Amino acid sequence: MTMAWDSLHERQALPARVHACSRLDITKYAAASGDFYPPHLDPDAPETRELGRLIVPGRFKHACLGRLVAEWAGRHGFVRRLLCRYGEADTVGRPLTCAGEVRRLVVDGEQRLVYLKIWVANAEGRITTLGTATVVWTGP
Amino acid sequence: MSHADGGRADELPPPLRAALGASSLPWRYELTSTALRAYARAAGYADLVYYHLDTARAAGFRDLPAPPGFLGVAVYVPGLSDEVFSEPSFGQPDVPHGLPRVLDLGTDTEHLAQLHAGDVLLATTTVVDIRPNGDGLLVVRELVFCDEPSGAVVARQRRSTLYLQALS
Repeated sequence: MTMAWDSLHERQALPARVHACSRLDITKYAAASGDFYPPHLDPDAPETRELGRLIVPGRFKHACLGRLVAEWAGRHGFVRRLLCRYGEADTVGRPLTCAGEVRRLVVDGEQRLVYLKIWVANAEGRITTLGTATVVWTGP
Repeated sequence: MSHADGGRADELPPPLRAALGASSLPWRYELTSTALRAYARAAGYADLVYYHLDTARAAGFRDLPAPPGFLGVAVYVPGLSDEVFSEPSFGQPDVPHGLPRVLDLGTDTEHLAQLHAGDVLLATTTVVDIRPNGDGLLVVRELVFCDEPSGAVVARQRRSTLYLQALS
């Protein structure tokens, strides 16, 4: 990524990322995070039967949106804030798309800040997680 | 900041109101290189900076940099840690809701410094909001992460959790 501050603009889209959200993906996240809540992993658990499906951990989506922003900023930015609201539970095995856009560019003294809107959309295109991110721009 | 609309905290029964503002004992979180790589792998990062020390150093990091949202892994201690979520259960503020099911409603992470593999943090949890939410109860906890050697605050994370009788 070779962006410069002057090339950034409002409504600029971040390259979208698609996550398969397979059971293997969720298992990898469980191992990394220590989140072994049965509705994410165990189809036979009573909680999963209540739902009728395995659901994607909210913080897995937080991690994936963090990747979206970090890969977009590359070496030019430090992700200072990452906020996600999980409005709808997503189903394991259905792909999710992480996307976002620049909302505001702010120069505050010597600090340059990029405010982003970020989201997760399900296979039907419905936004199930909405969030914001703040990047401290350190590049040219 | 609130992650969901709900009732008012002053509608709560006294035991729940008493939990508002309660804080935990500090608990250790470790950013081991293995855990950091596992988190980056789970999120799908391909950038070698998260996996390969020489690449990280060449990019100006002192060690593998922590991806956004990764604040290490709580040290697991049998009998003192939660067997499902792996977070500490000992020394945590009690929120006596009696509801068996859990839904994550939101996560808000603020990084005040770049974290790296090898860092050790101490986190303290405070219950900052409790309110009725539909048939459930919304609890917001704020974790403040300090660098263990220096005591400097390096991150904050707010977690909004909905407790329910049933998920369906």
